[in-house]
Amino acid sequence: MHALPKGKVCCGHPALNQKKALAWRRQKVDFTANTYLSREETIQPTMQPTHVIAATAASELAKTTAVSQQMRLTASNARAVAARAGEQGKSFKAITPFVDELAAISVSRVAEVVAWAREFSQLASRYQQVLGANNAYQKAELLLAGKRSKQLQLAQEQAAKALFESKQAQEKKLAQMVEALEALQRQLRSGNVIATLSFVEAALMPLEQRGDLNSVGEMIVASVAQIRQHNTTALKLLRSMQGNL
Amino acid sequence: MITHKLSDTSDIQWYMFGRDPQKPEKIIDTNQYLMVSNGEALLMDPGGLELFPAMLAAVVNIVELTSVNNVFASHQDPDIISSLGLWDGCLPRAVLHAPWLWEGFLRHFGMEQMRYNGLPDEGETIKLGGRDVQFVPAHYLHSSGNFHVYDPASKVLMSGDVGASLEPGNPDLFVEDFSAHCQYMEGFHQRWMPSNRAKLDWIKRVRQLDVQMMCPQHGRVFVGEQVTAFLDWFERLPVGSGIK
Ligand SMILES: [Fe+2]
Ligand SMILES: [Fe+2]
Repeated sequence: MHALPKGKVCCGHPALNQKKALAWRRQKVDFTANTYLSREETIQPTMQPTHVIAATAASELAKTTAVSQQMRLTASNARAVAARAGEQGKSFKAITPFVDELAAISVSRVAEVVAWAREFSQLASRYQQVLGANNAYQKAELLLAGKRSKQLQLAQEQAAKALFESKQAQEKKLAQMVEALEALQRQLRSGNVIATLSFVEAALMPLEQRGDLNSVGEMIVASVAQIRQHNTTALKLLRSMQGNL
Repeated sequence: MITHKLSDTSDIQWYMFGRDPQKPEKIIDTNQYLMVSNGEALLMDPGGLELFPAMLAAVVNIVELTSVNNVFASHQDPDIISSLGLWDGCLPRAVLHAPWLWEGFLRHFGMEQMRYNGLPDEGETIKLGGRDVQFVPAHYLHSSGNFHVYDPASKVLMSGDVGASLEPGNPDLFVEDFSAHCQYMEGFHQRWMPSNRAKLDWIKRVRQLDVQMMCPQHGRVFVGEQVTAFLDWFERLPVGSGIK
């Protein structure tokens, strides 16, 4: 048994230096991963931290839940005011279920998208893992400098396939979230109609209740605007990832 | 990644991998081992994620991956086995022999295809290429579920973190001057090893084995009388220095 002189390789293959490795990369045309992905994606990952973007969008959306609950409370107060007005308050009271409904739709849609955002984050983390595996296998292949290993090739194929599938799953989930939020944005437009109706109805009420009921309309307008603003921000964040995964 | 053949009998070869020049500076240097018995290979403490590409290439240069059907992890540390998920991708039929205690933890590194053989506390013997390979208990040295590998035919003991040394620069592969080497082991063993009782139990166990070469996961390898010198030194060394 003997000690090796420093820096000497005994039986192993010397690691390629960075320059050689890069040159090798440029020359090499057929990578297993390229069956599914372009070269840039596999070799120079420009992956943004999409799980962070998704989490930010989710937290933006979560802020709307409190606003929606406030809207429900407003509707309930309005019902009480309208009830006190007796017969004259009936038409106003009839508007309040629409406010409830709008708030409920917003809460459930948002909860759905927040859950999807969580799933998306998981997919994005998985993608990063698989991407890491892909890169590690490719680095090993470079170090082997042409020596073939069937098992390594299989692992590369498997990782490339997993990468492709993971990307597809992310794209699908992202499209689902964007679609749901766009639908919610459209539904929120009805909030303005409800507010206008409540202003009209308030104008027909006795003077002493008019102020209270007007403020109901104002609350609806303000709440819907807030929800829309958060949704718009979340949508922008999610759309920024579309085509960039 | 330096590859060195440690031992070569007619049917068993031991290889050591380490001193990777491409290794990022702040990562602790590790030794990885491969035992090939009649064409069947056991990969021991294959190392961390950062090391994986170089390790994979080094292993493929010795054996085809289809013959690596056994992997061993002495314990759960990241420098031991955080590459598990990547090995899992290219050794789908392999068995991971590791302490039963750590199964739920080790699976966090990713393991979808390999089979986990949870080693019982008292240890286990398997056949590799028709030869015995013993998984020797080394609990609390330093991990609470911990094993070493002993090959009675080659008289080689892969001793995980026991015998490890933290030496600056690029140390040689073998201990030359045992007394001079102790300074690089002392702090590590005193701080990383928690139990004097566990230490003495392990020493007693190893004294019963015929060990000609002791291969730690960090630092230099001990050969011949240096193994006994190490056991004597370790016996005298109080451990568990973290408790003030
Ligand atoms: Fe350790
Ligand atoms: Fe270690």
